[in-house]
Amino acid sequence: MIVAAAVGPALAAGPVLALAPDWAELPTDTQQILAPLGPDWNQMESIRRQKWLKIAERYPKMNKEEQGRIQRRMTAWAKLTPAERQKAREGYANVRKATPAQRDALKQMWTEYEALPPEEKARLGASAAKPAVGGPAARPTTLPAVPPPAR
Amino acid sequence: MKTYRDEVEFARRVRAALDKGAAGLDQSVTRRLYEARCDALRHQAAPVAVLSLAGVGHTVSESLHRHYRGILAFLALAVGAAGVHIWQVQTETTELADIDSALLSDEVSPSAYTDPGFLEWLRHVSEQDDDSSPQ
Repeated sequence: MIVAAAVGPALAAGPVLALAPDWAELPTDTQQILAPLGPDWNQMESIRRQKWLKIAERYPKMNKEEQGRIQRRMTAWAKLTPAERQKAREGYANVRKATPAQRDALKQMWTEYEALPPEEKARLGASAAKPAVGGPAARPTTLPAVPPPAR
Repeated sequence: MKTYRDEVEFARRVRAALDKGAAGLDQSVTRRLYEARCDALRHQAAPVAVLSLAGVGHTVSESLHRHYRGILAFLALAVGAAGVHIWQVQTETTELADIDSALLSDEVSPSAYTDPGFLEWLRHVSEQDDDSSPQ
């Protein structure tokens, strides 16, 4: 029982925490890559820290554009709720299964959507929040089928 | 038939004869005999210690060995469980890192998958395309 009491907490946190150091203990180059996360790092769960450390390992192999995107999106991504992050991962996983033409179409439509006036985007967002005729289940909660690229 | 009393008498005579003989020995011989006796006694110490484990000590020793074997088996189990736990965490974080690094570096922002306005707009555009397509 004594051994169990000693080993239990170590199993729960010890090995994981050992692989997820505090911000001050990170190497300088890792701190530079993960700089947007610095203020919140020490409050982050150890499993998320480990994930970001693995992303930081992949970072030097990315091209400059990809590196810039990751750093720009890091903070907003970390502030999403776990459910929102999961939803985005599922959406992205579906898009990865799509054909290159469909992915290009999605990219094009996202670019067009981003160019919409803020009030139009707000109207669309409010419209999505309203329950549809026939009940809430009629509204899409994930990406619908992407139209063909010929539009 | 020899009795116990005869044997004791015989032993007494032998001892007396040995004592008489020993008294006439040279001093160097008695010193060597004394040293040999001391040496023999020193060597006897170790077997005595081992023999002491044959009684209660042996039982205690067996019990301790069983106890340690149990602890060692449990520690081995705990180390194994810790290894599996670390492996699971590593696998999970690697999978998350794979998808998150791809998602965050992609040309399409992650917001595209969570922005309800974009989902609504896509639905709207899809419906328009369906309406305009030839029947």
